Amino acid sequence: MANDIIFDPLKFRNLTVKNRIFRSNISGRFDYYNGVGTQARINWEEKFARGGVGAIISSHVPISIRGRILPNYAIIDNDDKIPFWRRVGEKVHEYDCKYIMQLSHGGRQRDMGGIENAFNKSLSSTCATDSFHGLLCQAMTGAEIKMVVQQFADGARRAREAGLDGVELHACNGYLINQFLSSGINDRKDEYGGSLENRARFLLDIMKAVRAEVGNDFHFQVKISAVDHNNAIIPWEKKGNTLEESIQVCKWVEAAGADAIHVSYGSTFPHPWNPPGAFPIEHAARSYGGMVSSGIYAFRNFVLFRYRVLRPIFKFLWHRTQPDQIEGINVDEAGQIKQHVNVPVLVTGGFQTASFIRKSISEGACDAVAIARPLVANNDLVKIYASGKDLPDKPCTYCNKCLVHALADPLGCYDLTRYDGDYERMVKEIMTVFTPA
Amino acid sequence: MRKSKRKRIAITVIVILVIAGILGALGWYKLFRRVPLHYASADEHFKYGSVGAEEPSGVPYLIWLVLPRMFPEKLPGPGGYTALGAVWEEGRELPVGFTKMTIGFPRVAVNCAACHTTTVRMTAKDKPLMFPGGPSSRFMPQAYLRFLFACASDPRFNPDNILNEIERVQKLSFIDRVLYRHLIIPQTKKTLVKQAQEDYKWMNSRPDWGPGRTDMNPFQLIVMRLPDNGTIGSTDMMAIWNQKAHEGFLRHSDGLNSTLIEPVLSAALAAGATKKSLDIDGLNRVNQWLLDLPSAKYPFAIDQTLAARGSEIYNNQCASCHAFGGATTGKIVPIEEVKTDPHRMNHWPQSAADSFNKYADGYPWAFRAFRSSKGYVALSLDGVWARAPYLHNGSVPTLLDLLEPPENRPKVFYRAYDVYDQERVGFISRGREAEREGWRYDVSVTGNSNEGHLWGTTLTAEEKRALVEFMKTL
Amino acid sequence: MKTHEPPTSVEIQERRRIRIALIIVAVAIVGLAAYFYWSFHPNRPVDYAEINEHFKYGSIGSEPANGIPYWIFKVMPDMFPEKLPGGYASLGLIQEPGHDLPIGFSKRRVIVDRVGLNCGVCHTGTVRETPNSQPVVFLGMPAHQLELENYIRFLTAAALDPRFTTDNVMAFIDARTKLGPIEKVIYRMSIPLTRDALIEQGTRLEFINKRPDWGPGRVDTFNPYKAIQFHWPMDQDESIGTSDYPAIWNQRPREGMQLHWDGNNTSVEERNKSAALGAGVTPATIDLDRLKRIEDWLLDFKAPAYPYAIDANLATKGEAIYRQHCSSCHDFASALVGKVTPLDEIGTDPHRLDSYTYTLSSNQNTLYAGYPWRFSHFRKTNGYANMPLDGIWLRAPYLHNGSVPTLRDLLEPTDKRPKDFYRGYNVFDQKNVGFVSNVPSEGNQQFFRFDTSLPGNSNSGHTYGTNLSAEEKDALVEYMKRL
Repeated sequence: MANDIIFDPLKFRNLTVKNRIFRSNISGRFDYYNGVGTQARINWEEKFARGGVGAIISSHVPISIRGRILPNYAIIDNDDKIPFWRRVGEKVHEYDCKYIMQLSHGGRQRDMGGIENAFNKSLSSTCATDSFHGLLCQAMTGAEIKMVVQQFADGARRAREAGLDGVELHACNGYLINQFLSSGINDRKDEYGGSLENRARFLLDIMKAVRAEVGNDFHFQVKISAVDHNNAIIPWEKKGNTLEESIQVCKWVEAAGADAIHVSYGSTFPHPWNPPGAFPIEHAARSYGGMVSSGIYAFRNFVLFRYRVLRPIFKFLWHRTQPDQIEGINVDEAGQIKQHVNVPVLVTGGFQTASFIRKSISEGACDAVAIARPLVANNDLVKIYASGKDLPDKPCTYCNKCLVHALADPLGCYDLTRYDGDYERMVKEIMTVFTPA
Repeated sequence: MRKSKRKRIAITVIVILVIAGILGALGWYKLFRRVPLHYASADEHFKYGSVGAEEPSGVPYLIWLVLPRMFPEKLPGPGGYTALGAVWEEGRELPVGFTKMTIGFPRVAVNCAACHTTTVRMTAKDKPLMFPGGPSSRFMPQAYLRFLFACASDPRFNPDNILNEIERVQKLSFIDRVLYRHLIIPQTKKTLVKQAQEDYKWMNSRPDWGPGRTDMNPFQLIVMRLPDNGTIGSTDMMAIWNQKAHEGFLRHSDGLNSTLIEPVLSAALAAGATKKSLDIDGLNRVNQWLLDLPSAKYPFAIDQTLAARGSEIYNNQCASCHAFGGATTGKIVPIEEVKTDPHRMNHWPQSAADSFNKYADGYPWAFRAFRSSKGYVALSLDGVWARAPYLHNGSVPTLLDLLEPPENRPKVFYRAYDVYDQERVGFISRGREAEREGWRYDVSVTGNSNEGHLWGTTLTAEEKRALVEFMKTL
Repeated sequence: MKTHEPPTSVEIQERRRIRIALIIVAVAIVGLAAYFYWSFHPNRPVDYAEINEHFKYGSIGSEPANGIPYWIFKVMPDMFPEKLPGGYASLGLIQEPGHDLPIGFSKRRVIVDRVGLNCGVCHTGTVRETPNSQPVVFLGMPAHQLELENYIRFLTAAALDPRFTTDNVMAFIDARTKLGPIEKVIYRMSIPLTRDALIEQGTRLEFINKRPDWGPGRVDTFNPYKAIQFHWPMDQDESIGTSDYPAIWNQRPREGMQLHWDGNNTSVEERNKSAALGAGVTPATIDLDRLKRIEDWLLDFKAPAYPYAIDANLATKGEAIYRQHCSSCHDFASALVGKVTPLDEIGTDPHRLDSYTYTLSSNQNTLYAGYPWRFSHFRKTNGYANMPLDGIWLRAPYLHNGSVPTLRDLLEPTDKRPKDFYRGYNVFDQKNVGFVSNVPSEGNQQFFRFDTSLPGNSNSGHTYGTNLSAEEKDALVEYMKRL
């Protein structure tokens, strides 16, 4: 543990984290439908704090009902949500773990809008329907842009009031801010579309508003996609932003007062490169049903998932651009970004091997890694590293079954092989989120 | 898990191998399996046996059968292949000189007898008499090839039409239909069109052979693939009987080979066989048979008294070049002496002979005895009655005409009409029937000159009569 | 790494249902295919248990290649009445009561029902004792009233007529019967094909119009062969091969004889298959089993006995004359029966002999190629064969070209034989033995005036017995009624 860079605390301008392992943005449909938080959510976050991570970055927290991605995720649309989040922060602090809230607006990528949103189209930079699920949207007016900017600022204020350690802007993975940033999605003709500067305007407006609301002494980081790679699944999509463009955006983000950059990948979610791994199509067949009425192509996808003879089609589309290596799939891009900014850089992308993490940090590709699935598989991953092991005995297999089950079922590790084929044991483990430890 | 994957792969591989094996066996059976053609009698073998041309040059039998019915307008007249001079023996499936051999599927090729069987009719209404080993005055090998080429080049020569026609005469199995449609018919068309446009292009820049004639270009341009030297060498087909008595004679009208077996083998090559496909045993059998094959005996009446008088004239005037034992018989008579059309002589140069002598190097039967000459051979006259028309290029229809000086010989006559002219000794070459059934021979066409061989032209009319009467006995 | 994860119960059920659905769909497709195939593809002739019926109406396999779709055949006389006044009956076809088609026409389902010819069309005839009698049908006798040439001409004229369109034919068919929807589609497709086929046949046979008419009971046996089987151009061929239809009973003793008028084939079976080609059969479509049924029956089917009165005394006298003058060529036991008598001996019209050429017989060797029964017995002969005279009373007119109306006329020298007479009348002439031949018409029906001066129609030759006395001739003719 001594001389292990993983356990070197990381100093940000406004925050210090005890080690270099952050739990990345992940949660399940644990909360009430209407966005009010539950005990299960607190149990969930506690798992990771107890496991020893230095900080937890929350999963997406919608700043409004309209901006949600799925029902049953806790939101921060109103001051009445502050007490819940305070309880989350307090629980996590018990383990000397920090809690950073990710402020999120799903924009067009509103996978299941819920009954509240049944008769409104989601807000986006564009009116173009997404090509994966066929989700419909409408382009935001100037007034709506102003409104959403303010909603982000209010969300940040509420997070500070709840005693949380910082906020992260969700500007990647194809959600609202990415929909403005990306040349593959943003087709606006006003000042929020066109050149990179115009496309980044929305993000920078939000940052200005957040800083104005919470001041300069609150930890504020931005999660950004290093490369959009917009055409990774559907080949005829435009390719979106390049690494060069993202580096430029990161420089603007730093200048606008960000305390850190969190590097991710892809302008859709999921994306073959994020979370990198398999596409468990048999499981997707079981859980995708709820999305069928969300989009005009969703039924097509459902059929492609469900009927065995058709499955090779999607599998081909998913895998065709993937490189062989999963762990550190975008560590090179993070390194390149890090060369152009002075603030610390976090990167998320399949990290699980201690030696690889050490190497990435010591070689200057990043300052810390954000891990989601391997921590879901082994909540005490950090402790395992501390014991000197490089990999846990039953590491995460990147099967992504947790990902597809997230649409309908409690989040957990659904890889039966990690439970030696014991289905009952797997379910029991997943269900532990509903009982406090 | 790995074991089941390996098992699946193993089963897949085995299934693929089994299917490939079945397809391979089927393919061999339908396309390559040889059913040998054997005839007990050497006669039958000569008429219908294979020289080995079926595999390289055979036309699929079923296509061959229906072509005359599909394209009757491309034949010179009615009668199917008989319009090209093919002749059937009664009850036989194929005409004399046409072979049918199964190599996977039945194929038709020609053999020696197509060009070397004489047919003679006493009157137009009679059935033809056949004399194997003599020259055919009717068969038109060039027209036969051109017929095949014309059919293949016709847009109607396609699998749909040909299969329709074949299915009227024979029910094909599903596999056969597939093979014919996708492989055999298209391949036949391709090969024939290529032959028409490339290999046999040289035919179009020369005067037609006409019936009963050929030249050495099949040897030079097709077999040996020498460049076209532009020469014309139209020649009558020859009698090949009685070869034991021809021991030591030079063969072919220009004496281009001193052996028998080499002309036999090389002719089979010209008939469409290749070095590899030659049926050496079969051709040796023909070779043997030709040694003892008697020449055709004149089938009509002979005035013996007149013939006896002619015999004396023959001994005095002709025997030294044409009788067995004659000084020049079977040897070259220089062109300055015989003065007949020189084209055939120039058509086979020494370079061709040299090439041919190297052509089959490595084979036990390799050629060694080819040569070129500056004249024409004085042939023995065994069966000469059946060898009309006369001179190497068939430019003189009857023996009596040959005894006329060239300016009195017919300038235009008709050949291939095989009704016999017993008075003039040769085939009837004038008149309405000959014109209708025959082919117009014009001596003014290059290579067709009837000049030369002036011997006997100064005899009296009675002496000429007696002489030709005697020659009926040869 | 993969563990075998079990499918859920829903997934198991769904896969089972999909499998069942696929099986049902597959069975349905196979069933539909089988139904359509069975309805429209099969080759199902109408069969008859009784051999007489089979001979008259049974199929020998002419329909698949040359059959006319049934309804088109039916309506053509309706569509073009001016081309065939009196309908098919006017062609001398025999219509038996209770039968849909005339004798000689068979029906076979080849996608749709088609009508083809069989042996009975040329080898069945009728006889009346008097103009007031009912006609009696005799199987195997020459169809002496059949106007085959006019039938071909009718088919050709109809097909060439601009009114022979798909719509018009369908309209006439609709007037007669209700076709099912699929049958309608098939008929619409088959009408142009039928028209094309009839035009092709007519074009190939155009040459028959440049020769003297066949008339009833006659056909140019081998010239159509050249055009139809081999597609030879006929413009240079001027030969005339018109001859009477023969009787075909009692074939067993004929095996080995030189068959056909000019004796060109010694095999009964080969001759049968050759005649079948004339009826429209092709080597690929010949129905061997059904043909064999007829062949076997004809082996021993004896010639009908003379049904009218015979003067026994006269006949006995005639027998002696027969034995002396005729039996050496015509008796079954004689050495010369069934052998060709050279033309310069027999002296009859040479055209039929000349029309059958060596070239034709050569090409016939290619017919049925690929089958064990490939033709190999055809020979060019130099005369006409001596036929046995069983049932000779029914085989008028006489000589190969039907140029002599009665037996009594045949015993007259050439210049005393009728120079022209009428063919096609089926009332029997009991005195002269043959059909009454001096009656030009009956009711609306005009009979065919046979002119012996036309090429091919010469009544010269076979002058045997012409030197007998009139009484001897009468006796001989009386005896021949017994044959």
